[in-house]
Amino acid sequence: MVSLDFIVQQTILGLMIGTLYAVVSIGFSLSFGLARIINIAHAGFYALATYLTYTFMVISNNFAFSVIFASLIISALSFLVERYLISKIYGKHIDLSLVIGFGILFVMSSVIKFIWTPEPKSFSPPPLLSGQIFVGRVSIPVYYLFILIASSCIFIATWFFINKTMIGRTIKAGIDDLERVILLGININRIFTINYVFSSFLAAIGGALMAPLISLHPAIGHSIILLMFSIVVVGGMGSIFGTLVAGMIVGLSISYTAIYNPSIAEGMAYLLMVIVLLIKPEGLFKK
Amino acid sequence: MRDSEAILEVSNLSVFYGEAQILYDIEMSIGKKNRVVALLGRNGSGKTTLLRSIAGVIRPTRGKISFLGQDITLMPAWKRALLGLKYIPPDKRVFTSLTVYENLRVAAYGLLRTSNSTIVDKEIEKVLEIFPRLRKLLNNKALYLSGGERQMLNLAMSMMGPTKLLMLDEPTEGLAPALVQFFSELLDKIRTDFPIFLIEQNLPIIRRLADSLYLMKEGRIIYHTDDINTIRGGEYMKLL
Amino acid sequence: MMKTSSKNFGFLLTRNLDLFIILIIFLVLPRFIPVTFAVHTLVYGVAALAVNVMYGYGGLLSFGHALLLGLGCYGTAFALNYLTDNIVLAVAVGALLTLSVGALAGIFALRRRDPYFSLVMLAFNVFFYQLWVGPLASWTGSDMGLFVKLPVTLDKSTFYHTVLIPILAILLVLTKIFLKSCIGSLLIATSENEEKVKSIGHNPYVIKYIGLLFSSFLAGLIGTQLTLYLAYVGIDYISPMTNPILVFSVLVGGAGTIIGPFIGSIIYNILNYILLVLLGWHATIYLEGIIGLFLIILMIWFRGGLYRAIYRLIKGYHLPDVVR
Repeated sequence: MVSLDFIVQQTILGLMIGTLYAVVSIGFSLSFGLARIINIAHAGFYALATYLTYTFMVISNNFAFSVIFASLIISALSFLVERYLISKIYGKHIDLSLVIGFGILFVMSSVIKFIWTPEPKSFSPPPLLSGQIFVGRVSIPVYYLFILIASSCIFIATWFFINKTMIGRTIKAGIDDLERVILLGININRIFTINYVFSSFLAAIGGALMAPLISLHPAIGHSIILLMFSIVVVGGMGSIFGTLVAGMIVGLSISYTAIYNPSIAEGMAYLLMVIVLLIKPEGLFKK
Repeated sequence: MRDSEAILEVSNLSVFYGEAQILYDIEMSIGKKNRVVALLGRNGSGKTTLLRSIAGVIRPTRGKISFLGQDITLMPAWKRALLGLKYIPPDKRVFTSLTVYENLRVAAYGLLRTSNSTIVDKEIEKVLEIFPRLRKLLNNKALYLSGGERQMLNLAMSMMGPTKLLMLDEPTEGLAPALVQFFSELLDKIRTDFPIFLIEQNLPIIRRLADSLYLMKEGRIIYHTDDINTIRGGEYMKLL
Repeated sequence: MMKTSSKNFGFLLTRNLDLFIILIIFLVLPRFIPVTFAVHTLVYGVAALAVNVMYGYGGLLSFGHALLLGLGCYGTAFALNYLTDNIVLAVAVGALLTLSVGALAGIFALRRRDPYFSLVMLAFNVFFYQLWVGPLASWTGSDMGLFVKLPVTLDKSTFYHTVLIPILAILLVLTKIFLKSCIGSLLIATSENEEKVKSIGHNPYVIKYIGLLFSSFLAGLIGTQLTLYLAYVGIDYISPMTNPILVFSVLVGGAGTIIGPFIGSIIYNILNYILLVLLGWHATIYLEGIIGLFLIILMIWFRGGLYRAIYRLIKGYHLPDVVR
């Protein structure tokens, strides 16, 4: 019989990892909602961000600096990618975006292998965020709590950006009816770029925060594609709230399954996606 | 029509959809002396395609479009809207996930190029004068608006900022008679400010408002007059 | 009116020139490169053709066809190791296993349009791959692969010429027949305009489903042959990382043509070989990136693929999007 403490621990783990995956996935969902592209490159930005954070930590030992600087670099990179590659395929058949996305991901994977070598890397959270705290008999890593708080803040900030700023509202309007927005004088190229860079920034921050938790290897980009996709399928494309809830559901299903059999834990996320596809293909929170 | 008088000039316009040709060498113009130009034709004759090409949403395969003396053939649609070339698509499309007020603010953000709340609110006030019904609905999500209310919002949005030509695509389609009357009277009022290019299936409205008429059939313009009184209703139905 | 038999053959030749070209290429290939290399090129070519049936003709890009190839391989391997000595039965098991999983995946993957199809196929691939290296590792051999007990040992070269090439020919002919048949035409029509197909009374879901079954059959069957040839199955054949090779082959060679995937497979293997020769084991670092670059360049500038580019150069006009 599994102890209650263990279950509580796994719950916190699931929620933590779920919200972090959700942060990474929002951008993926927004790219599809607005520009109708499947932005696989997103996974590449995530992967690159984890490695950059690692390197900056090695150099500076300052976690905040590493996270922020890595995210900014990735955002700048995503701007170039959007302007010179992605913009060429807007409005075209959607599998163009899929293939280009994979192409960009593969290039980034190779770059990672080249710069950092294929050997796994890892690093620990900074001392301030290390260690455990005890709630009753349950021990919770401090870093998990930090992630929960950080992810919540990120989500609130994202919500604020999308719902309370003019650019955010324009993005929402564009998701509703892209053509109508164009006819109102909105420069959609600018909106697409902002949307893309914002999405990539979130992917980068997600990756940077995730980095101390995982072992870095060149294929982490690949491993997150399906997780992102599962979350977005379960939550519904274009829905921020849906992404958050779906992220938590997916995170929990992985952590609970891991109690019984860690090797198929990830497979459960896909099973979930498949079930949702069968019952409610538009996602649980589609308007 | 001399260039200096023309607000809109379309020459030699052809549009293909894949291999199928939708518009064949369209020639038409709208000048300062036109008030309301009606475009009539059966379903599938290419009317919407023509308006969408002028609006910039569709790229023509051949031809030239001039607006206020400027060649806009390759200009993106959003820039055309900023020049004052406004197209209101059919089906009363508004942004359903935003409130009425937010819809108007997005329109202002685009057409006025500013988020300065004083200017924006003044402009919003201006359109609310024209559509007082929307005042009560400002905080409602556009999703819950009725068809007529959506169309009011639709028009309110597009009328923000300077307008030099307003193109309407079946604006009264599916509306109750009282609303049709309301829009008819509204268009009558604003025709003094700028020309209106109107696709309509409602013949009485055309009778009442239009002074010029284009007839389209199977992708071509088959008839044009600048004085609609020269042709009787039954006759243009026959031509179609 | 009777046609003379020579006229018939000439007609057959010109209409099916692409099949003859493919067969000739593969007949001749072992003279220049080691047989095993030729076999891999052939197998990936057919697997890419399977992807192409769904993409070039059905408009749906699968990122999980390695699963189907792998199941053909492993199905036959399991059969020979644990069930039977009969080769034909083992091949049947492999094909059946592939078809069943393909049928299962199709239920979910076809519920919505591309891109859902692409990623759901990938999801199935990853799911099975994780089963293979996880809970089922003791049966599958996981990373180490599985050695297969063959009841008869055949000389590799003989096998290539007496079994593999004829099977290739049969699969090519079946593909031609499928694409030219009613269902093939409906598949193409569905990819172009699903609503129209519905309005004339057909069910697009069923059409796409049958397409996927045929595609699974192609990939699975060639997988069975690979196992027979190698007397070994490697985890790579079912690994999701193999999908980029297949997609690359289809896109580089030319989607919507039968010969395209084979050209693509040849190009991939040449590329792989050159990199290995130039860089040794470092090649693995760059191969992925180079494929990625190719994919980007192809999607932005050369969407038609190499076959179409050559055709245009020689003939002076464009090949249509769909070539049967």
